[in-house]
Amino acid sequence: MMSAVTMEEHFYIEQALYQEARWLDKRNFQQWLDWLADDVAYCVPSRFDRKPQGRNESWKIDEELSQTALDLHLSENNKMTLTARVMRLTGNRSFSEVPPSRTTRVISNVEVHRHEQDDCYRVDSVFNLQRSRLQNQRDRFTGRREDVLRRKGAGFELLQRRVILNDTVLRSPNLSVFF
Amino acid sequence: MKSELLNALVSDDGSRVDRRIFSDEDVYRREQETVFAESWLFVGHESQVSQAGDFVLSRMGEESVIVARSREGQVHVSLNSCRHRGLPVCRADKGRANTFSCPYHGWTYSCDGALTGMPGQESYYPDIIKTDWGLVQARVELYKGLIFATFSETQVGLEQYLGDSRFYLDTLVDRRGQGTEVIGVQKWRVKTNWKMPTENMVGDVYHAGFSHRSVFDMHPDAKQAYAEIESSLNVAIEGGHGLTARYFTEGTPIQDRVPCEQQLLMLSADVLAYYEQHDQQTKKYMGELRTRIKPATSAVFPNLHLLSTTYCIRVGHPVSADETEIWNWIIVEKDMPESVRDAIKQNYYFLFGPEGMLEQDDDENWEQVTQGSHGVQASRHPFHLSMGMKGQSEVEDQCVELPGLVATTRSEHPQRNFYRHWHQVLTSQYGGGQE
Repeated sequence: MMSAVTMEEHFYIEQALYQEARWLDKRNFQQWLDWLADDVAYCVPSRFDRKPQGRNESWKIDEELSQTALDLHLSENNKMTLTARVMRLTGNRSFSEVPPSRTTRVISNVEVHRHEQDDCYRVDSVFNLQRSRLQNQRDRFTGRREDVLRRKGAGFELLQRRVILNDTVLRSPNLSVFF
Repeated sequence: MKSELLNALVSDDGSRVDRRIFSDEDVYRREQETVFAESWLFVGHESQVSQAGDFVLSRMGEESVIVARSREGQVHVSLNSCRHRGLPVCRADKGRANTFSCPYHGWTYSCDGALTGMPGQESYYPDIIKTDWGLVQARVELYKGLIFATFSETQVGLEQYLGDSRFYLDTLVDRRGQGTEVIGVQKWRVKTNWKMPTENMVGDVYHAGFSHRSVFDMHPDAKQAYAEIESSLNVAIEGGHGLTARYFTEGTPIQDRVPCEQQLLMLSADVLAYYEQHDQQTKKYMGELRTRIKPATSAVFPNLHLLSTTYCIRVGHPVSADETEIWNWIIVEKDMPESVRDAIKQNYYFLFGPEGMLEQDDDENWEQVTQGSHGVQASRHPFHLSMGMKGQSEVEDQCVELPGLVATTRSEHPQRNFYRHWHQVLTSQYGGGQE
């Protein structure tokens, strides 16, 4: 069990996650990019149905996720590729986002723990991301995020994010949205 | 749908296509009974089931199948449906198993589909002949590691079915006899008819400059990049297959004719080194000519797609008249070093798959085509596929050295070829029978 953080640390980190969600919902992509560490690692594994070996409670979720050299994630990004994606999104010439998606992110169940590294925190949260687009496209993404945040000045930056989706088959034509 | 209507869905020369083939439920239903019941369908790669007992779930058309390697080492493709009450007997996407048991009454099958047990068999079924009640078996054939299956008893053998497409296919799956393996899989759903992705893959270079301009905008020399792909050749192959490929003159240096995206060479110096190292052997193995061919996108009828320059192999599974589930893998040579594989993956994530910057716009287009295929008024006006034709005449072959009907990218002959073949299969007598 990792040692607890102070109420103040928890409060500010939780607020940082809400702020991030707002930036994305309001398409303030540049602010979002600024909140990503230069060495950020952002990954959305693919998920599979597996038959549990032994009892269900010992069946780790990791067994259901893409993790080996012979697996493909749904998304894997660093700062450079995320910057390129934002550049494309905001360039007004990417038809999958013309007109753009309308999104609402609900972030909840925020838990903050100390990280082995002194200036970092391990932050878990769950999310519900609703995306509507045009007249009849409506996608819902639900899952859990396992983040590592690092102190930066008076605030924080996102160092790692792993997004664990519930779906094994993505019920959306694309991942033009960020989690 | 009345047979006169069915017969008129595609014009004889393939230059006009009725929009209802992308939206009509009757057409879709008939496709399941003809195209998907009668064709060889890609169900997976040998590397996914390398050991006895290995299995993966796959699909043939709408239906779930189990691809498994039996104790005897054979690959079997079984319909994933219990012979007693029809439940899927396998509900894991992959794994290793000796048997598959139906959750309802416990009928149990082995990896080769044989019915091996039922609870209380002696008292409940004293007289059953178990060999009559195994899982429904598909015919299975392998082509260089790719597993194909069909439920047709009359379809020709796989090699004959693939025909001239093998000439090009080998540049991805068998460059020098070293064997391949797949990395994956990603699965996502697009609200489009399954034919749209296939049509796009057989030779639609035309869309790239406009649709993908957001990506070209980032290219340091976008004009040059687009001019290069525009200089490709479109190839129509008998059997409804087709592709678009670059074709280089003799003596073209290796760095210009590597079978991958040029961008990949920038991600890792090991990529070029890898192809340089094996160039002589590759020339010897598949012939010098084929080391000068660089297929970009290809389709094997009906729904297998190859995006060779990004090492993608994928299937567009039909879900309904206007929904398709795409399963995408990367296919690599077994002896490819880790650094090359990493570069391939990185490049893939950037461009294709659900977050891919090219893919997103493709999927958007395919969805919009499907929306444009509904509606009474819209349906009265067929799609235009005449590009490259002079009047009623099909484009002339422009390269006898290469198999198939070869012309520039300013011709939609591969699309016409695909729809003509599709129409022929749809309206032939086998399967569903004419109304």
